[in-house]
Amino acid sequence: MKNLLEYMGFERERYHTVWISGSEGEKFAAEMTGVVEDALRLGPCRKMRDETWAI
Amino acid sequence: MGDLTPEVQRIAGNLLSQGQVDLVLGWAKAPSNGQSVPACIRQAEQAGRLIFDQYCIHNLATGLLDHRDSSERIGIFVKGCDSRGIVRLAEDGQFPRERLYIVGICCPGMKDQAACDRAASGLFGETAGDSELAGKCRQCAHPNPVIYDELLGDQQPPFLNDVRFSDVQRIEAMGIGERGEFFSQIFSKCIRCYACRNICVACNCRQCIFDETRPQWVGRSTSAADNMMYHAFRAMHVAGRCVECGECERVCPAGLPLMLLNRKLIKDIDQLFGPYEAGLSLEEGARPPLSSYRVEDPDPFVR
Repeated sequence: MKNLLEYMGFERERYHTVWISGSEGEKFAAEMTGVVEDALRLGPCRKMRDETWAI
Repeated sequence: MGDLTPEVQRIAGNLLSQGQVDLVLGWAKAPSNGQSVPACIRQAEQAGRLIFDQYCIHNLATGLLDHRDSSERIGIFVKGCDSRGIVRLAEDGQFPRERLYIVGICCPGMKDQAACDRAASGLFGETAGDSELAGKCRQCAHPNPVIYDELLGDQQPPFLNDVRFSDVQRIEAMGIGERGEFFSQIFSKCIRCYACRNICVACNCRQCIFDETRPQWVGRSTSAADNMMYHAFRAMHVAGRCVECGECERVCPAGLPLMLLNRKLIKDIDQLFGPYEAGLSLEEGARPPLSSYRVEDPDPFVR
């Protein structure tokens, strides 16, 4: 899936799969921070967006 | 290739008159325009309608889905790609092999009537190659049937096997932004007629995710977002099961190069889980790579 998305032009960093147990709150927080950082660095994704999704 | 039409007619006639099958799926000439089209005959006297020529491009295996709830025995003519479609259906538990009498035809490569007409019209400028082999046949690795009860014609060599993934590699070589732009442009033309899904032998679900409304997984509009969603979804759903018959691309009224997605997945699955090619042999209990789990499966995407 990740390969296909990248092939279709979506940056690898936009897609995350992480194994986190219910007891790993800290890991969850760290991972989510990472997701946000990745997204901020990449900037808004305009692909798959048109006038119906005007933000 | 010698003319196989007499053989096709003789075999179909025999199968029906001896009661070995209840109906035969083959190709015939459409009375309206003389084009080769799929045909279904039930009486031996009708066997004379059947033909086999270089325009018999349609994959008849998908037609078996119309008969999956009956108990009729079916005789079917298959080329290399169609035979893989039959393995697909049998492997997916959609059609029992026992109800089939398969007549395999070693395929010399087909021509696409529509592409030939386009080229002949001269309206579309330089369309070199369109009157030659059909697009879907130019990268065919398996022109000879992989499953059959009876075989017609001479064994054929694979076509251009060395450049099999050349278009996939061309896109992989693009930058990420360029790729996004490329696919956005392609899918913006999609009219969401679902012809690619309907013709697909791997799309054999009775209830399709794209028809569901509660919940509605993918929007119905032909917007950039929904179109891209649809094609990414469909590619993933047939991943590892696509038999590369290229029918999706052939029937697309918008002329989208849909096999670009399917071939990418075929290439990746072959590299990651392979060597693997879908629908090459029918084995008891065999599962495509994405439907089975092995401890050693690669998982670099998960942390």
